Amino acid sequence: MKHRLLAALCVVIAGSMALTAAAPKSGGMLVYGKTKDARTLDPGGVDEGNSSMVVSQIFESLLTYKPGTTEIIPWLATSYAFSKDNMALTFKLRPNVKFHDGTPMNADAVVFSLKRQNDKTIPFNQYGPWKYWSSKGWSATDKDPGIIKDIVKVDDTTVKVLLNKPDNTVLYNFTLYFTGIVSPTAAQKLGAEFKNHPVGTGPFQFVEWQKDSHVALKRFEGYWGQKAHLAGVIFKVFPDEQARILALKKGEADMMDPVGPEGMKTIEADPALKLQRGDTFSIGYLSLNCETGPFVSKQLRQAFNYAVNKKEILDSVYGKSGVAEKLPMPSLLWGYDKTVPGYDYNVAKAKALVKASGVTTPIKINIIYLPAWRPYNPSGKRVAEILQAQLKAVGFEANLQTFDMGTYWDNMDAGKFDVGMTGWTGEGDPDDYLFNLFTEGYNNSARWKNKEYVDLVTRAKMVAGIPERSKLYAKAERILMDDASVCMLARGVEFRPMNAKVQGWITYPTGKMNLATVWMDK
Amino acid sequence: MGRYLAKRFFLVIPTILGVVTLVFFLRFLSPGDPARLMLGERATPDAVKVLRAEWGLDRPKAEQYMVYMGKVLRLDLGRSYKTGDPVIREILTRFPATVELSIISIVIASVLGILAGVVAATRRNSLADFVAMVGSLVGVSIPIFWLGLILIIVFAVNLNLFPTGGRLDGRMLMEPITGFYTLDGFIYIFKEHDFSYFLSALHHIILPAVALATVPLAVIARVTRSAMLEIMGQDYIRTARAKGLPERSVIWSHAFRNALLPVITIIGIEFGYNLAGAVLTETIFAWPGIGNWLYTAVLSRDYLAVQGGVAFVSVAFILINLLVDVLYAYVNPRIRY
Repeated sequence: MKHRLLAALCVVIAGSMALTAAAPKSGGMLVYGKTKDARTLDPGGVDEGNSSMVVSQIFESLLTYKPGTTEIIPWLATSYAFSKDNMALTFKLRPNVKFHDGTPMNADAVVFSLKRQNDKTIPFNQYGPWKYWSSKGWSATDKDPGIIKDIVKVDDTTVKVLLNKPDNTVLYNFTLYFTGIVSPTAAQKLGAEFKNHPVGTGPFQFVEWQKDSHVALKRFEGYWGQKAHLAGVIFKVFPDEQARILALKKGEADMMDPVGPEGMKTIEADPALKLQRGDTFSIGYLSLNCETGPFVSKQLRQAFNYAVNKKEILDSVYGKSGVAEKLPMPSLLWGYDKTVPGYDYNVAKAKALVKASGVTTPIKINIIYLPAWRPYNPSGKRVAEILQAQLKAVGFEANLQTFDMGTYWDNMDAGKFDVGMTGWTGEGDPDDYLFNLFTEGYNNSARWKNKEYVDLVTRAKMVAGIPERSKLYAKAERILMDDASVCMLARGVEFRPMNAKVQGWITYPTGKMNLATVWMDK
Repeated sequence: MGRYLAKRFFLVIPTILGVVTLVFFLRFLSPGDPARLMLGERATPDAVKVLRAEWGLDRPKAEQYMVYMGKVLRLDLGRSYKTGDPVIREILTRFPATVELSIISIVIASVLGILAGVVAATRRNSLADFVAMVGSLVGVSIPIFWLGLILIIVFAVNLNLFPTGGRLDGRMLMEPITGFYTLDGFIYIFKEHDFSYFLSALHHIILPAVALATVPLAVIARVTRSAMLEIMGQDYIRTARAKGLPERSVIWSHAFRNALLPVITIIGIEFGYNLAGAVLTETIFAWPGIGNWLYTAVLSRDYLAVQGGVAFVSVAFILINLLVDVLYAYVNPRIRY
């Protein structure tokens, strides 16, 4: 009898605990402490995180990622399909969705939101620049007709995207901010001011923006899906990290941008605060200049890769804010072949390769390192210092150099380095890493050229389906690793500080921020 | 006087054109391509080229200069590369925050600085003089970013007396009327019968104003002391004392009024410096003013914003100097223009 009673009591307690944990509370204003103000609140103009974190609360795209994963799901669309020849992508739109101004979200709105970024006959086009659209190769240039041929309305709830050439990477772009759907009525009425007074379909609607101070949003009561728990959100700018942490400690902010190792210690020491760990798509790596200097030699590039003790760098510089990655793309993403051989730390092999290259030691090399924190590299200087010591053991004599950020990128672009420290915060498709970072004309900082590789990653754009594309990427990854044009350091892990009462936060590896699921346990 | 002021006012125009020209050409010395910086890691060579062409950065320097100056003469400072908004609007939305902070900090610095200077001069070599002068030495030497953080840790976090930053409580929204939050808060008392906006605005400005006041306070105290010491040794002061005037009257009516000229000059200069951008104070206290904005514009090579901002601040600085000149005549009627 006693045991039964005890068991029943346990069930009741466990049940009530589960209920407590599972029941989000409605209401409350969340203050989010951010580093910099947004540049624009028009999704078409967004190309950096300070704007996108606000924009992603106000606007939605046709597709999105399943929370916390890289799986694409329909969102403002209810379904999508490529044509048999892969030359058209058709979206069926969600009915009964309203913008914050009460106008309907329909095919006209989708066509306007997208075409305004490329079609100069649409008057709104003058309020660009539409940087993301062009950086995706979607618009025509003098060399290329561009990927997108046209975007047409089939009926009120159907939109067709016509392509100039088959390209499966088009799909994931419809999850991104720049394809967010805007209210054509508001945009046409406000013109250049739309970016300061945005109107979308998202769970929060715009209230006010005081530049360099805050952006205020409130819950959209007419939202088509699960309404936000919070009554509103205020994105408040605190430029100094120390001051931001102090504001969080004092309760003036409830949540803030991710912090580095030093900030993490302060947060961990305060029981009223917590750190939410989240995987990111930010990879940090070293580009070895394949065009000039010693790393024209494949043997020396391989030697370099064997000579770097990545674990030491990870432990002493990244700490918890990084994890090891073999390939220059996140292992969380499909298309990452875990069987591709990497470069484990092996001084003997490195020395043998240096000897086989026939180059006399010491081999003088110039390492340029990042001047400031990046999400994929907490301290370029410390990484460079460790590298210098490790490389000495195999016969490289490294000279370390850095510049201000502007000059740094100029030097990276101009190939003025033997070893350049860089990184990439990619999107949810392997193409954004394997094509963008290693083919000419894009972000190929190592200046590596390999025709077979380029053929494979170009074909991988064109074939349909993840299994088929993955096979091509697996082959490409083997070539990439064998040629050793880069040396992977780590993938960034973010630690986002928040008050212990903030619940329901989900980290999206793609960097998307969704505050609709967040609630405050008062 | 009127003629003098008109002459000074018209001299502002070539000064501004000179400043704008200087800043325009200085930008070519600073490394880093604004288009590349704006596009960040995602920049492709083609995208950089397109953006450079869009901003006219691919044109010859002389052509860029002529186009820019043509616009400046039509009072068009261009649009910020970063936000696409007109530079003048970017400045005007942030300027009230800086002016408000500068006025309150200069009031604190002037009142305390003058008091400390006068006390130090009239009690020369006393403990008060020693404390005031050591204090002012510390004041000019202390790094503002360090002092700002210490003020936050002690008064905001540990003692919980003040907020850590911003202009208003994080969860409070106020539609700006004048842009000066303390004034707007005051208007709200009558408009909304609500004191909370005014109190919150006042509460938020105290710590940054104190941090910003330290350097001017120290400078004003030192200048006041030396000016007062010089005056206190004059014959007419001895005469005033010999006539049996009370010491307070001797100090404030006779000595201080004559010592005021250099003090006013230094207050004007310090106020001008604050307007030009209290970068560190604004950054630490999350104060959305012109200094913070100009600093970010420099880092992101937002040239049109930098040029426009510098021109605007130069005008403000020159006008303050003009105001100081007018005040001279008021303080010392012997001065004629």
